[in-house]
Amino acid sequence: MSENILQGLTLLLIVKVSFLILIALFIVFLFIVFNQIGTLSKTIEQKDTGVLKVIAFILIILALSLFLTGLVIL
Amino acid sequence: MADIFVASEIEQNKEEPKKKEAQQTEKNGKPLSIGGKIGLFSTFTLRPEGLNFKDQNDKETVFLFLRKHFITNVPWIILSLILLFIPPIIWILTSGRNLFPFPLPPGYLIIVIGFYYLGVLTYIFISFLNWFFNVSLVTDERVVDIDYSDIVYHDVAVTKLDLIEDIDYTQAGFVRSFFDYGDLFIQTAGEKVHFDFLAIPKPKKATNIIENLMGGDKNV
Repeated sequence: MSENILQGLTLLLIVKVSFLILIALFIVFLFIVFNQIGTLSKTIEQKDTGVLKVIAFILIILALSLFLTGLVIL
Repeated sequence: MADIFVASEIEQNKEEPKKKEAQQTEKNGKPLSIGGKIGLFSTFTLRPEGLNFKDQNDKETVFLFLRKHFITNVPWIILSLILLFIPPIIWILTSGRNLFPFPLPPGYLIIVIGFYYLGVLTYIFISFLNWFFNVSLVTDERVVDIDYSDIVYHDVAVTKLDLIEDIDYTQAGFVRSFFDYGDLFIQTAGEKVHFDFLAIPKPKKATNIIENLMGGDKNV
């Protein structure tokens, strides 16, 4: 009985760590996207690229929020 | 008396380009964005305002701004809509039962769903960026082709108008004919032999503009 609980807890811990690593990698990916938008905006200057930077930034904020939420509730 | 005639002639000359622009704008009943501002969804703009690119010369003018026709975005838009609606549909079909092989605590479910929707939003955003940053420009001196794909890859190819050897376009299929878009191919004598502007709107008009610019006619 206690072995089963221990196995369940270990499994949940593995899932938790996996999720956090996945979200962390996702945040890195979003930073690369944000950086690429900056680079391409310099290559071709258009008026509305600012909007895209804002959207990319919002996605980073959302991903960071998800990471912190995961850290707290998982 | 003679002065009056001179003045009216000058006025006529000034008005001529305006008339020409107006005629081009109203052609086919659709605005062609002449001297137009480039928005997030612009695909074909003549003499775009407020557009500059890296290594642009001081006196160089951009005559034509091209992106893929917006209709080419339909596949990923449909896929995104399907992905957005999958979780609620599954929820309704399974009446909120747990689909995982083991009981999942509610906290995990929130993170799983949150991560799923973040992934879908990122997919939508990146698909839009792939379309947005794939731009082709035609200036009075050269042709610039900016290719961007898979986030980490971007390629900027430039060739002078003098080096263009051949230019042609294809517009095959019902959808392409209906929405008036096609592929424009430029063959050059430069380092990069082929310049492909794929799925651009009004390929015939774009071909004519490039040909005119090659012939030194800037009145496009």
